[in-house]
Parts: sequence; structure tokens; C-alpha cells
Amino acid sequence: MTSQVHDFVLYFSKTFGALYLFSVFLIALVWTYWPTRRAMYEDAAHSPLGQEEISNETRN
Amino acid sequence: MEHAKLERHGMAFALAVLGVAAIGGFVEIAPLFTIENTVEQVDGMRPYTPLELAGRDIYVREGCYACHSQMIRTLRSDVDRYGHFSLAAESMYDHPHQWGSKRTGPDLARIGGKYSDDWHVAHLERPRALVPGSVMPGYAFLSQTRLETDHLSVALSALSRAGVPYSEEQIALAEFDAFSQADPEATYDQDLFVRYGENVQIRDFDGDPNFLSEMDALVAYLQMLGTLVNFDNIDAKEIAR
Amino acid sequence: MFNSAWNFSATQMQAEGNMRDAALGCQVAILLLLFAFGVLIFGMADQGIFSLHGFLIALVAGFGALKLIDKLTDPDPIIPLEYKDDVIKFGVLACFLWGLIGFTIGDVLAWQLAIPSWNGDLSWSNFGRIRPIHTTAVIFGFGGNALIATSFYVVQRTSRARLASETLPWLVVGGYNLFVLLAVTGYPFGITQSKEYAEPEWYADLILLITWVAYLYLYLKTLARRAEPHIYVANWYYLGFIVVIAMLHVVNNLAIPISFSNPKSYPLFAGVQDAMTQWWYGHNAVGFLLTAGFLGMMYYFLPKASGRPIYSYRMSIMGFWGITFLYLWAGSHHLHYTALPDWVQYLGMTMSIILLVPSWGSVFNGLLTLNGAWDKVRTDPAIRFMMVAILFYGLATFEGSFLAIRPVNTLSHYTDWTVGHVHAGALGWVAFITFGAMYKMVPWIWKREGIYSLRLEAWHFWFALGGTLIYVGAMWNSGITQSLMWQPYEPSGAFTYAFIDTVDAMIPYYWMRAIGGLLYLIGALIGAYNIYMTVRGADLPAPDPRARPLPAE
Repeated sequence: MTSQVHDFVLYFSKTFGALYLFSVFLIALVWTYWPTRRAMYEDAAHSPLGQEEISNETRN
Repeated sequence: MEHAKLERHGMAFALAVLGVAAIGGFVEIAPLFTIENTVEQVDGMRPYTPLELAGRDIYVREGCYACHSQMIRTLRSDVDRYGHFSLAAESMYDHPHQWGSKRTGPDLARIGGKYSDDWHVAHLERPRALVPGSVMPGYAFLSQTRLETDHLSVALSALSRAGVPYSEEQIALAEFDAFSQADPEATYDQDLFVRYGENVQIRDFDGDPNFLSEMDALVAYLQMLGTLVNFDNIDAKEIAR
Repeated sequence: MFNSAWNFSATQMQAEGNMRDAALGCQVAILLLLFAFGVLIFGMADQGIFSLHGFLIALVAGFGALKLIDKLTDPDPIIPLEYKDDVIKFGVLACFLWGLIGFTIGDVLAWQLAIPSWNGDLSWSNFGRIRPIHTTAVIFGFGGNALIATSFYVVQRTSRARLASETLPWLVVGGYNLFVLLAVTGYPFGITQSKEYAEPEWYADLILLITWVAYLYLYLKTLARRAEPHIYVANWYYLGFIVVIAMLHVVNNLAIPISFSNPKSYPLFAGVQDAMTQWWYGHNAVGFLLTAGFLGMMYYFLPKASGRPIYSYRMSIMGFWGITFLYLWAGSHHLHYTALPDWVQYLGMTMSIILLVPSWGSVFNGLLTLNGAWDKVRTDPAIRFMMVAILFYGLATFEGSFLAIRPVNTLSHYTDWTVGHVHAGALGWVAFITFGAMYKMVPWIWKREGIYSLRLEAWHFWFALGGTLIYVGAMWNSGITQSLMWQPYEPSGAFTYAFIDTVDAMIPYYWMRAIGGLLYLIGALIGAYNIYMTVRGADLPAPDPRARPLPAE
């Protein structure tokens, strides 16, 4: 770790840092809320509510 | 094979978590190791003498950090009450740091030289005899406990591996130096000045010159806290940065 | 082997058996190494307690190794087609035991501050030496065991699969509790690094590290057995907790032991680097052990107990990545106005404020999950525990972001406000969600009809809530009072109050705090009794086999 890297990190966090992180956040948001993925999450949300019997398939 | 794929999936997930989580620490901690940007150059800093180190180890052992900080912030009320704000350089040899997070009692970063040895010994033994209303526990047992010195050489050697610049001579003579610092009769005290510089306090600290107690070590440590750097001839611009 | 589970050929069976033998062999080898490590310390230590610690390590590792070697020669065991719950039962009991120890010592410490002569002025009884017993027993003993036990429960149920090993879970809980035992028995004898919340010395840290790697491996292996492609979100939070704690533990505990005869070590980093690493660790032990892990608990037990799915599953996912990313930046807000470079302080403050968004996302998600089941909050004390836990989580995270703002921090830092903030989170959030989950899980794993007494459960709730409010209220008052007394000046330029004046002013609040803590302890004792009686109670009647083929709800 040299002082150039240190200065670069400092520069980045003071300028584009927030913008970059915000765009990563937006990408994550779009990915999560994409309509075609809705069904999967609905299923997942209900998964602890049903019968929780151990599955044969996983036995090994 | 589906099994393997799923397994990779869990593993990939764990790695993703690690990657995302590591960013913050990396950006904030790694640059601190560029010492020239983090720790100012100041005159006067030196590694702890063996007796001070033994005292510091007692400070660490007793968990003093739970109630006392060693970090004077740059706030006016801190500086006026405790002295010049702490510099990063002043804890450069502190393994571990004892900056603390709580002031149930006052800050100790510059306690050195503010009270006499006698006061420290009496206060540590029976805090409420000197400071009515104090909630500090008593540490009378320190005066009665012989200071362990036989591990001091390996202790200095471990610290030198962690980056503290102890010389081979300092390591080899650690136990000897610990005894001579608390021995006012010693004729060889010049050796200690040669090895650790002029700014070493040599005297009996606990009022019992015939017995090297843990109290000797702890008071020797407390009396040097914050006294190494002379703020009269320090470059103000260097600190401001 | 996943799809054709019932068509094992002879060679597959053979391969399975070899795999199991190899895994057992690995575990035996590690245990034997630990045994040798313990014997080495036992033989070389020149302090009684360190020697005893070596003996303990050797004893536990040797016992485990013998058990496993015994299994090596056995024919391949028939693994029952059911969840592995015996190890969870151990974790639950350990959780309550450490909890009672931690709460008791905590209240003793509170009384020592109110009545200083209660320190006894003996080396082992003074505040500084026993404070880490309180923090370690509560955070690692109570919280850690609660997380390990519930994570084993949740990962099995949501994966519909048995834990991936018969022996490894026992090594995980055994090694983990050995770590806690070594830590808390060392402190009264002065074995400590005095790094806040990372006090255990290197040899205990090493045992935690091995245990933790085993825990991660077991968790991933069990997830790999799951019957559904999607990993349920509670497991994300548990996994986040496991992975991040591993990273923090390793980096913050890098140290150089001075020898095998002395437990002392010196941390590798010094001064400002050590301080930043320490609070990166300290803040994220809060973020991932005391927050992410317990959010995992909430995201399983809250829907399960209320019979309603998570209000927004997708918000829980966004919250997960938000917390995982942001928390790690926030540690530097513990070092405002110190010798830490300013830019790190500002970065920490900014991220701490943004952190409120995913935190409160989780709060709303939790509360809205209960929407439509409010009647259960009234009638079921376990759900009431969970609801209040979420409220305290919201309070503590708001307070956390607020205290991270630099000017506010000048008022709160170094005072009891910090202590109050931590306890709003620990008593109000962590312990409440744990009690809520335990009151549900204990009857489930011991196959009891329900909890022994709902009335006692309600009593526990009110004692705990009363104790928490008194505690936190007292600490807010004392913190703000003390800080305001530190700052005023006389016209002459001298301070209005000497430091000791501010200590005198704290005494009434110290009494209040000790009384609040006592109430909380009484509540926990009632809870432990209730759990004990539930465990002792009668089994559920065996289900009628004809009733089996009911359609899933």
C-alpha cells in the first residue's frame, strides 16, 4: 500500500464514490424487484409456513 | 452433477458476502498502514522501558480501559481538562492500544507527573481515602505482589517481532533494566539512559526500596504517560495535517 | 446422488462410506493436534490457571478424539431420516446457562458502581477483571449459543435436510463452549488482551477459529443438501454472520504470544492501526453477531410464530446486502475527534447514517409481517417478545446512527449514553428476540405440547421490559448529565465541575441501573425455570399415522 493508493482512495471517496455506490445500489434494486423474479421470492417467502418434513431426496 | 453445482452456489454466496463485507475494512484500514500519512513524526517517542512495559501489562491485565480512556480528543473541553490532544505517534508502541471507550474515571493519557508517586500509591491502595466519592476499586494487592520479571526478555522479543525497535542489548538486559529503574541506589543507571534515552525516570516508586512490587511497575508506567513528547518545539503544521 | 437417492449402487455406497471415514479421520486428526496443544500448555505453563486451561483443552479434545476413534471402527451407521436436534438441545441449555451467568455478573458490576466497596478490592473481584466475564458470557455465551442452536434448527427446516454430519455439529458446539469457558475463567486471573469484546488470549482465539471454520463448512454442506433451489433468506443472514465474524476474528486477534509458559501475547498492530482494527471488529461484532445473526432468527421465527409470510421478502434481501456492505464502514465512528485521520472519521459517520436505511427496512418488514396478526401479540407472549424486540432494534439503530454524527458524539462519547445504547440493543433487541424464538423452538424440538406456563412467560416479559426501560432510561440521564457537567466553564475560564463532581452526580443513576438489571435478571430466572419445566414435561402423543396424508397448508 503506497501513498499513491492512499491518495487515490481519498480522491475517489470524495468525488465519484457516492455516485458509484448509488448506482450499484440501483442495479441491486432493479435485479431484486425485476417482475419475472417475483414468483420465486413469493414461493420463498411462504417456504417456512408449510409442512417442514424432512425430504427423502436429500438423504445421502 | 447438480449436487456439486448447488454446493458451489452456497460457497459462491459465502465468497460474495466476504467480498462485499471486506470492502469497508480494506478502504478504511489498509491506508492507515501507510505510516507517513497516519502517524506524525515527533521527537521524543521511544519504546517503553522494561519496567514501564511491565506496568503497562498490569494496566492491561486489570482492565483499566473499562473506565479510563487514554485519548484526549481535539475538543476544547478535553484539551483544557487533560492537556494537549493526543497524537497518533504517542501510541505508536502501544500493543494493544488502550484508547478506551468510557470515562467512568478521568482520561489518563497525560497523567504522568501530575501527582506524586506517594499520591498514586496511596490512591491506588485506597482510592476513597484520597478522593472521597470515588467509585474506583482498591488495588492494595499490587504493593504486596512481587513483580514477575523473568519473562521480560521474551516479552520484549515478542514486541520487537511486532515492530517495536528494541535492540538485542535491550532485549537481553530487560530484567536487569527493570530492577535498576526502581533502584535509586543503582550506580549503573547511566546504562539505562544510554539504552532508553535521557527521558527515563529512575527511582523507587512504591515507597519500599527493598522490594520490586507490581505497584512499582504500574506507577512507573503512569508517571511516564504522556510525558515523552515535548510540545514546545513541535511543528504545529505537522500536527494540523 | 441427489436425484437417485434410493438407487445407491454398491460402489456408491462404498464411496459414501469412504467419504465418511475420510471426514471422520480429518476430525480425529484435528482433535489429536488440539490434544497435543493442550498437553503442551499443561506441561509448560508456569501459572496454575494457564496450566489448567491446557488441561481443559486436552481433556475436551481427547474425549472427542476417543469418541470419534470409537466410531471409525464401527460399521457405517444408519442415519435416521429426521432432523438432528440433539445438538440444538445442548445449545439451548448452554445459551440459558451462560445467559444467567452473564446477567448475574452484569448486575454485580452495576452494584459495584453504585456501592464501590462491593468490589472487595481483591485482584479477582475488581470491576476491571470481571467486566469481560459479563460481556463475554452475554455476547458469546448467551448470544452465540442462541445463534448456533437456532441456525442449526433453521438451516435444517428450510433446507428440509438433516445436518450434513453426525459428529461435526458436536465439535462445533463443544469447541465453541470450550472457548467461552476458557475466556471467562481466565479473566479473574488476569488473562486478557484488554481489547474490548476481544479479550480472550491467543490460545482461546485459536480454538474459536478452528470451531468457526468447522461451523462454516457444516453450514455450507447442509445448505448443499437442500431440497429447493432457493436458499431461504434467514440462512443468508446466518451465513453473513458466520463469514464476517470469521474475517473479523482473524484480523483483530493477530497477536504474537510471548511463550508457551505464559498466556500473554502482544497484538500485532499498535496504536492508531490497532484502534481502527479494534473498532472495525467491535462495531461489526455488533453488526453481524448481534444484528445479522438475530435478524436471521427474526426472519424465520417471526413468520413461523405468526403464521404469516415476511411482509416483503425482497426488502429483506436488499436489507441483507445493505447491512453487509455498510456496517463494515461504520466502525470509525467510535473514534471521533481522536488521532485517527479525519477522512476515516467522516467516512464512518456518513456510512453510519446511511446504515439507518437498511436497518429500518428490517424494522418495517418485521412489524408489517405482524400486520393482521396483532391479536397474537396480545395473546402470545413469545410474539410479544419478538414485536418489542423489533421496536428496540428500531430504537437502537436510530440511536446508533444519531450518535455517529460528530457533534452528537461529542456529547455522548465516553459517557453512560454509550452503555445505555448498547443495552437498548442487547437487552431489548438481542435477548428479546432470543427469548421469543426460544419459547417457540423449545417445545418444538423437545416435542412438547407447548411451553410449561404461558403466565410465567408473560411475567418474564414484563420483568424484562420493565428492567430494560429502567436501565436504558437511567443511562440516558446519567450519560447526558455527565457530559453536560464536563463541558461548562466559569467566567474565570476554570471548569465549573471537577471530575469527581460528575462521578458524585452519577450515583442515583447507578442505583437505578442496578435495580433495572436486577429486574431483568429475575425475569430471566423465571424464563429459565419455565424452559426447564417445559423440557421436563411429557412428550407429545405420537401422531396418529392415519392422519398423516393431510395436504400441506
